[in-house]
Amino acid sequence: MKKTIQMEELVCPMCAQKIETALRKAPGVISATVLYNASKAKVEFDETQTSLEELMRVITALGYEIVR
Amino acid sequence: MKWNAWRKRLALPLLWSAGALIVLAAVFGRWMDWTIPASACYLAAFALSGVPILFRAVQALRFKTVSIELLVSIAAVGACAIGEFNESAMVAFLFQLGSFLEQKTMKKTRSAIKTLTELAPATAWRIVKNGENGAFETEEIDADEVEIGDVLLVKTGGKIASDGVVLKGEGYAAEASITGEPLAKHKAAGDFVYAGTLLDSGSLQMRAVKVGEDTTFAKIIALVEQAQDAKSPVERWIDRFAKYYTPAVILLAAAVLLLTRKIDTAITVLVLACPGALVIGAPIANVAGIGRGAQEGVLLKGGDSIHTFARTDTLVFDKTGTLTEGTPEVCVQKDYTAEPEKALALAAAAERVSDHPLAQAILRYAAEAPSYEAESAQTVRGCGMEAVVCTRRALVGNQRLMERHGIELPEQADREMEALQAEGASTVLIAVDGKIQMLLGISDRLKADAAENIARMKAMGVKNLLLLSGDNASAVAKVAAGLGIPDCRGELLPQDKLAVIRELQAQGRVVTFVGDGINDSPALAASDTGIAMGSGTDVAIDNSDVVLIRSDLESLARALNLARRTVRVLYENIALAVSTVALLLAGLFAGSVHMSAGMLIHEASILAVILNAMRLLIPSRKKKERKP
Repeated sequence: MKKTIQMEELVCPMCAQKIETALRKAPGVISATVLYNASKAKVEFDETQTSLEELMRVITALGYEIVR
Repeated sequence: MKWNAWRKRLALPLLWSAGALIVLAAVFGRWMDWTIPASACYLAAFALSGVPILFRAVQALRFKTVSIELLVSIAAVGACAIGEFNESAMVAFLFQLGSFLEQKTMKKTRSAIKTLTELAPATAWRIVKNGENGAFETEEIDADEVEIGDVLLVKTGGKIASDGVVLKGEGYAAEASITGEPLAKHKAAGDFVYAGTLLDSGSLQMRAVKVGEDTTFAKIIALVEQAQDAKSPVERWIDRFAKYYTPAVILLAAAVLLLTRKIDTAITVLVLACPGALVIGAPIANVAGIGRGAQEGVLLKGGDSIHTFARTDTLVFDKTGTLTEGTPEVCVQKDYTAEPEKALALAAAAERVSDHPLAQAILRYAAEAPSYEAESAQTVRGCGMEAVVCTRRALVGNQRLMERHGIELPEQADREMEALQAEGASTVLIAVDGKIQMLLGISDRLKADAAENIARMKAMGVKNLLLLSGDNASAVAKVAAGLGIPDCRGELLPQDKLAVIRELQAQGRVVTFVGDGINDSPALAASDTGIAMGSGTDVAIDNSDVVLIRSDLESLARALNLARRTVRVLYENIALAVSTVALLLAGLFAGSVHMSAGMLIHEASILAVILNAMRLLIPSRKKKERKP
């Protein structure tokens, strides 16, 4: 399943990299890309192993808010 | 909330407290000579603004990156260690203030594409039950939840939530965001509607055909968002450079320390050599340029395509639909038979299976003629159509087609055809059972703004312009002459156009090809920059390096101008960043630059590159004058 998560405005390229790495390491994630300028995370994941809510928690755990 | 979130919430109060403490410390130190309270204030200010920097530096280190924050942290801590509390407080404060202003201005620069994303539909009305005599029940759902095949209700003033086909009702939809068409378009059963467009009046029931990320609107947004992150070769080079440069600065500072034995000089090097403006200068130019383009219906697909497009020195145009309106009309009919109606009807039957623009023109022209079904019909590429209609053999096409069948042109037809071609019309011959029976002259109006914008692009320094077309040579020459295009070639097949482009590239030209995106896709793909004029069609969006929402030449000229300005700003920013660092370092070794002053200038240079990029967002004055 592919989903896009809109985050609060990202202000440093490092933040984008951090979120991307964390998402990729999360179980069940097939691929993850963070669009820095758009502040969006595009994730493809196996819905039998994880869920959108679970992945959103990964991002909030790093201290970034999710817009939708 | 995690402490990262707290850090963010406290950032601003911390920054201002640090500022206030520095002012207080200066008052104590300068005018009252209270050294100890002054130092205490400086130290507190350093703690308030320095700790967040240190935090970011450590975070980056965990990702094996030597960040600018690390340079600043070492410098500030070093200043503290040698008792220069005021320097360390100032450096930390200025760096934080700079980052804050940087974020503010970055936000502004990025916001250009927000106007586009805000058009996204939020909800949709799904029809859940159709009752008797047209009564129905609806439920409001999230636009993301719409599925293919859903029947949706669109109310007056509502946004259309997915791409789809109108089933019932009628109204006017404003489609400027997709097709660039400024006037609202009439929509009735069978018409296609786009997600993200607005129903100005009326009400529709529609069936969703494409949903979510597959709609044209979503594709446009995704394209712009990805473009802003797509780096040009220059940027990739800078990224690589910064990766080695930043740790190298630490080594340089260590070397300075060893050579001069002065800690203050060494830590000043750390601050002055920060590549801050360098790493931000190039991407910010692209973000601003792409954002500006998105506002004006010009979608640049990233740093790479901006660079190549800006270097264009040869513009190659297709004719039909690119320089002309693309809806040719039959304007002259010459008969060489006693039964012209019959000949026209047979020709129409042969053309019915063709999607060639000239065939469409003949069909429109023959709408009144009796309608026949062709028993067989086939396309002869680059020539026309062969068909059997009512047991009669009909040929519709150019002279080449007639020659292939050994049909000779009557002298009168030959003369009249040449005359028509000299006027710039396309000609179509109709032969029935081996005899030429009719000649049609078809012409296509030039786009109103074509000549003006071609002149504009020439004035911008595009040296070579070329018109390539499958149409007859004299019609092509006529169009080229009328538009001021010095070079043209007619009667080309798609592979011939490709060959011409390859030949130009072999001569070292940077070629931009502008076509309709349907029958010239090989040329489009081979050129350095391919632009399909397709008003929001999938073909145009997928195949173009630069997408023009409005398929006109003004957009093309504007896109070229924007790409060039973006590249210019990018190089200006790099020059500014490099010269700032060079001047600061020279100043340091001449003994006239202090650490805090260096930090101030450094932060100023970062703001300067952002502001320079923001110039791209300001509409040019020239345009305002043109449209009072």
